[in-house]
Amino acid sequence: MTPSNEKKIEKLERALARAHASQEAPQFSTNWVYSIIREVRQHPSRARRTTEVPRLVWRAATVVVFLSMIVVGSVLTWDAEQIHTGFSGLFTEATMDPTLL
Amino acid sequence: MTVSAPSDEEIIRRVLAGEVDLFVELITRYQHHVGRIVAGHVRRDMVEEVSHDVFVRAYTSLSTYSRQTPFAHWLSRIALRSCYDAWRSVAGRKELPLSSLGDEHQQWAERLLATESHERFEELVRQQETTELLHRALAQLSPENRMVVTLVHLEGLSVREAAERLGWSVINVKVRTHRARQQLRQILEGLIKDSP
Repeated sequence: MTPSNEKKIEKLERALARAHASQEAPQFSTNWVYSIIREVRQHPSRARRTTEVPRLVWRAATVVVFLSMIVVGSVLTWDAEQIHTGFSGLFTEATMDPTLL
Repeated sequence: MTVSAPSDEEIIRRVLAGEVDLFVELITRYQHHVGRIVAGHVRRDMVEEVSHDVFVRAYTSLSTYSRQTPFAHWLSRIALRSCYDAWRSVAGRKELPLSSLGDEHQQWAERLLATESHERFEELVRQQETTELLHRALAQLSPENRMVVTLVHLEGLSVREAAERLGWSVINVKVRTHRARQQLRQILEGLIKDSP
């Protein structure tokens, strides 16, 4: 491309950019606004449903955490009891079995 | 006593809680904003339909609005994607009218290139032929290249800004930017072949 053509194309590009910038927003009618609302009313539950999903997830997560705490607590308690019983059982067996003495 | 209008966030919260009709308030507030974006990217006869689509999409994805960016900004992204989808749909249906440049456009280009004064330049830019030429030239590009050339070359956004608004990668936009501009320049070159 010659430098002269380069300048011409740049001028045309500038004109198109100005034309693009000067495009005005159309005036929408009231009917247009209500046509959107009519369409939106047809699926009102859709927007709500999507907000309910995270809420449900949070509720489920809370229940799961609560249940896990109970399970972990009971396991720890059970283990502690086992250890306690284990030692005391050993002593009991030791006192009852004369071969061990 | 004056009652202040509810904020966008308040309206969104209430719409999501079930007050669907309050969405009218958001449409009223942002119809000009959306209309201006859409008018810059699609043909005049498509503006109303695409803008309608923008608000319906905004409603259906309202719960994903994070409130970290202004609502207008979030809506702009939906508007741009709706314009892109509209062009993809037109391209998919193989209905690409307004694609060729005629003698009247060549004459317009000659007049524009011959002018030295700024006033005459602005006067020619305001003519209907300019907008028509703009749409015809852009119609020859793919939907992707069209979006990129409009945002980067005609609106002057940076590659990063264009990528963010379109939801595309920066690399993708960068590659397309160069290619799309070359295509547009080739189209315009066709207008000046015979001009002095």
